[in-house]
Amino acid sequence: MRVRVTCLMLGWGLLFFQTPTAGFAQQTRDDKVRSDRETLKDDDSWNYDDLEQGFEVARRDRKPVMAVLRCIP
Amino acid sequence: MSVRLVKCNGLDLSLFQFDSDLTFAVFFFNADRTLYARYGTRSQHDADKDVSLEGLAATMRTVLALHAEYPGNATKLAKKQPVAVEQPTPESYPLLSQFKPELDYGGRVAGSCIHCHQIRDAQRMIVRQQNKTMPDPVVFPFPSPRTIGLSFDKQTRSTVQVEEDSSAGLAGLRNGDEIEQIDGQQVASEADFQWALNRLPDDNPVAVVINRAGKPVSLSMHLPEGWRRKGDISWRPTSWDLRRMVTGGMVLKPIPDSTRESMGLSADEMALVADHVGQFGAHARAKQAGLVKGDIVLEFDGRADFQSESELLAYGVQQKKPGDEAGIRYRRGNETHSTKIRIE
Repeated sequence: MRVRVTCLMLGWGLLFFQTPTAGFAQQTRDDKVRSDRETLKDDDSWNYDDLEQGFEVARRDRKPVMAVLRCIP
Repeated sequence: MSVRLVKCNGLDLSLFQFDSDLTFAVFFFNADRTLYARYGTRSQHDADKDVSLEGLAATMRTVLALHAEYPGNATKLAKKQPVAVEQPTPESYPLLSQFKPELDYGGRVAGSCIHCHQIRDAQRMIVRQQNKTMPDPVVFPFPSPRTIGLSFDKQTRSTVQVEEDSSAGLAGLRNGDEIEQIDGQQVASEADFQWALNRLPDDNPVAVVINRAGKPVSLSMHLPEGWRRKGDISWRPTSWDLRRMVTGGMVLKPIPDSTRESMGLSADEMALVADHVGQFGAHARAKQAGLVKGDIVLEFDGRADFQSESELLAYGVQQKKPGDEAGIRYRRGNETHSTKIRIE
């Protein structure tokens, strides 16, 4: 369990501490917010901005919900 | 199940209660919406220095253990749960009523976003507009554990370093202790500890359970009257609006010891340098009163005992009302001047 969680964390860390827009120079904040959604809305690892669906899946799978509130810099 | 939330618009405040000066906050729930833990802390450091992947992983391991025990452990989670709120969502506050529940992805999307810190700004504005004194928990929200003498190791769940003569030190906590519970609540992170601190009354003993070398130890910690006021709020984005209310838009910082000595000031005399002076609107009251960047404030409203900007801001919103005036005595070069500013 310890190894599995740590590995997951390394993957999530990219999302926590960097935005998916890294590498795109001179993006406006508007660009970054749109890019974040475009990049992650269909990502299997994340439910994008739909908390109710998150609770539904957690109920079905009997898993906890991790909700990350992150200001896009 | 991982949910990414990027806006506070429409945020259910009956569920998401946290230190809204953060830019990164994590919540762990059961599917029945019972909260297991919070993660995310910030201080005067760069935001990234107060969190770590290792610390988050440690919190997640605790959450998985809590999930496996649930609901048998509900009493250890009871006081972690959100409390009744005045407004259901951020845009329900008058100050934020121009925002919509959803972001405007087709337009100026960043401008349509409610930032976390605006929630506290909106809450404080209501208190201020009602001409009420801001209580300590409103001025000093989610106190840092350092306020009571604890430094959390950011790479761990809750391992601490302890200042000897602090409330924590006097309670018997020692370097290397791992905090298991406070006030009967399981601590899964520094943020959990701060949530508990935020809810504690003054001048009351609180039960703390620690893990010391593998053995549980129960302690009682006393937090004296006004303990929150030792906290530093100067780093908080929401202090920007407190500066508008109290110092006319000045950002004040302590002067270096060498400057203090050269001015012939003793260690307990007030000497806060204007590191920034607001230039526009209600943030320009100090500018309009003649103050400029680099001026050293020696006295505020007849008092010369403020050692920090945090103390001064707290005094301003707790002892002064909007429309009051406050005299300011300040040093510029070798000359001392006096002026007045209007409190907002």
